[in-house]
Amino acid sequence: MTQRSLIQAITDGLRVAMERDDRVMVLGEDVGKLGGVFRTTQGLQQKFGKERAVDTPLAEAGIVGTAIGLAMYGMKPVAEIQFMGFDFLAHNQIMAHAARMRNRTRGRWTVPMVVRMPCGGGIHAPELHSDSFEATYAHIAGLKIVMPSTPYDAKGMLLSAIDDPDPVIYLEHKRIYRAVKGEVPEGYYTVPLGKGEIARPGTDLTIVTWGYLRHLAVQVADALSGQGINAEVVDIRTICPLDEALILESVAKTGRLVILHEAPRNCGLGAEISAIVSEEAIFALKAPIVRVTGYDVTMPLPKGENLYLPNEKRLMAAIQKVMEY
Amino acid sequence: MAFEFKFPDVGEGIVEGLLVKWRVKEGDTISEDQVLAEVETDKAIVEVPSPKAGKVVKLHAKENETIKVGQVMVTIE
Amino acid sequence: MIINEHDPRAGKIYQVVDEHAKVRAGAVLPSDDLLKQFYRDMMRVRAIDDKAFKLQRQGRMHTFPQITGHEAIQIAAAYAMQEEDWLAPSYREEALVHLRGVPYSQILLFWLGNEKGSAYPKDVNVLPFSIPIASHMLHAVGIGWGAKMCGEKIAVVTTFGDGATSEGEFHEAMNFAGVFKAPVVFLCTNNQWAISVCRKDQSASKTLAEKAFGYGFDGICVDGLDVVAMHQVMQEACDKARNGGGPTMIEAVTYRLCDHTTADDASIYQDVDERKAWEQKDGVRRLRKLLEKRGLWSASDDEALEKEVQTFIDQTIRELEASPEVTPDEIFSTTFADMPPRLKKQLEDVKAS
Repeated sequence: MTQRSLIQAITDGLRVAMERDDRVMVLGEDVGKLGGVFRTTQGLQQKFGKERAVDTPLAEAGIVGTAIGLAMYGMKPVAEIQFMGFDFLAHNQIMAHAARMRNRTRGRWTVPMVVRMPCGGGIHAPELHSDSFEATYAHIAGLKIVMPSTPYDAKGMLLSAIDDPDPVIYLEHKRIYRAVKGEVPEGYYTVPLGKGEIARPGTDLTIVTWGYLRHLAVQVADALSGQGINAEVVDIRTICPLDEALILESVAKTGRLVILHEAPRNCGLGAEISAIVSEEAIFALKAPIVRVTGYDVTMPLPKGENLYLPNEKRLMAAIQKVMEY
Repeated sequence: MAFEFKFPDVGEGIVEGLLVKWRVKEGDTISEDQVLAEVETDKAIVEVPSPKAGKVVKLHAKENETIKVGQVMVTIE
Repeated sequence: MIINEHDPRAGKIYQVVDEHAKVRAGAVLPSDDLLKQFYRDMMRVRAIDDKAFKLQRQGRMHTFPQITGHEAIQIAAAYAMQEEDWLAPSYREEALVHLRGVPYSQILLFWLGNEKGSAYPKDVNVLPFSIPIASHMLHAVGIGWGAKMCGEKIAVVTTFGDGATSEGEFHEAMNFAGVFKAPVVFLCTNNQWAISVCRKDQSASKTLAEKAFGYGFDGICVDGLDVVAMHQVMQEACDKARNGGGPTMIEAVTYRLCDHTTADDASIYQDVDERKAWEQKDGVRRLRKLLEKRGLWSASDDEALEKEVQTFIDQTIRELEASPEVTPDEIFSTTFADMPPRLKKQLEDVKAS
């Protein structure tokens, strides 16, 4: 096992997939010669050539739209949208076409492509480079959406996503690209999509989260154990389809739920999780559900990021609130 | 008054860099924007210029050592 | 007319002052004062750009795009525009936006990530830097269309790069402008690079300007390092727009003599020799040579300019670094005209935490 950053784990996953199956190709802006603006695809063009690690023209709808066609023809495209904020230009392709192709052709054609995109704030990037819009995809039937938070999961889930018969939106939180390192096995392995993980077991309350915030939640939970509060952290890992069973199981055990996400609050995934728990497990709850989220404002520019992003203090306050009951 | 210059995030989300070469030494008198060091991140080799003029009192890392973003690089007086 | 006499499909690139500062025979130059003003502005914006780069490396600035190699284009465009004209810029347009009336400190404040940097002076018709590629070109067309409907004789300038011509919205903007004969000047800065992707990998079209003909209007290639040529063509295109002649596309041919942004490293993909060759054609140096040749520049001018530039930098950085921190109110107040109760509650939450 090798220690790798999240970025290195993704690069390794892409390399393994491309070695295993010569139909796997990466395409996007600057993914070839430069190796991606975050260097996530570094070395792939050198190893697999310009036809499989493709620098495309600058056109998000073009990248995703052609990836759809490539996938329908039997290729295994892994498209990169340079930043999630630029995916608005490709939304028509993802939502009106990729998500619906299976349905529109009654299962004859499918779109087994992966669209990777960096998301999230906290690295002082310019406007539209720091947003978290994962819930917008979850609203569209037919898309799988994942956001791994450890290098191990990043590689294993990427390989699952490439194998998956349906389109997968693969989200990479930039804040942990380099900041988080972990053990990553060599070669091929998979981590299933649609399955969450207990990132930290506990008994007193459940924190459901994903992406960078998993790490914040574990850190806060560890700090609280000294105060006699034992929090369980559930990293859902897949936004859609959601591992409802894992969340319900945890809430049944703890009776308290804090949902933590960076995306705006209004119609965020937290609202869905809260509804599921209310519908399925309301009698297990000892306290009202509390959400800690981004606010319903435009993602601030870097100097205001910290006012927007959920932090330790806000999470602590939410935990104290549910522990009052 | 001594000023402690900390290694900044010279890219976007950079967490550390390799100190390739010091371009100043302790005792040097330096001007503002004079290059202090070359640092290699996993994205690029960059020259890090001094935000202040003054005298280099202490270099806090050795060449070929990894420095973390936020770590004190140089003390300038 | 320059524009319809230089068909890019015939391989023509309009130039007045060549890289050795030789003036094309019979060419009319701008006034001596204007030439000197171009030079002072070029030196000033190049110096502040360089300073901002150093600030970034010192942790005092966040990611921003440099403009080295773009000075002549931006300055020429600014001087060709009139007060009532509008500008819909891409992001690498600091000098142009500044010369349209936005303090440079404010531009840098935006890149530093302070919301105050987005509060442009109210008498300046400049749209915010468009971070998504090519999207803003449609807004320029809409503005021009509106002005035409209102009978106002203005030109709307929109700027974008070579990479932008690959986006679907480039096509939509060009097509709408052609159909509605909108008074728009499409100023494409072809700096040969869309981050790491070179011009020939961006489009199989020989030139970018020739795309205009497919939309029913003229396009022209201009030497983007020749401020005089750029100024003449921009003036002609703006006049044409103001006088009901419809849109024009100008491809300003230059080279990005800097990284894409401070988060980039162009040495990975730019060829050293190619870049050196373009550096020889530099627009700032070229204009300096022209001024010297014509006896318009002396050592005392240098001294005065040096002082002017230093004062400008000092003042800009002082203003930049004196700007107060972003407040929660600033983040919430411009979401809607009236703040809904839910947002008010969230604002209280931020203030409390």
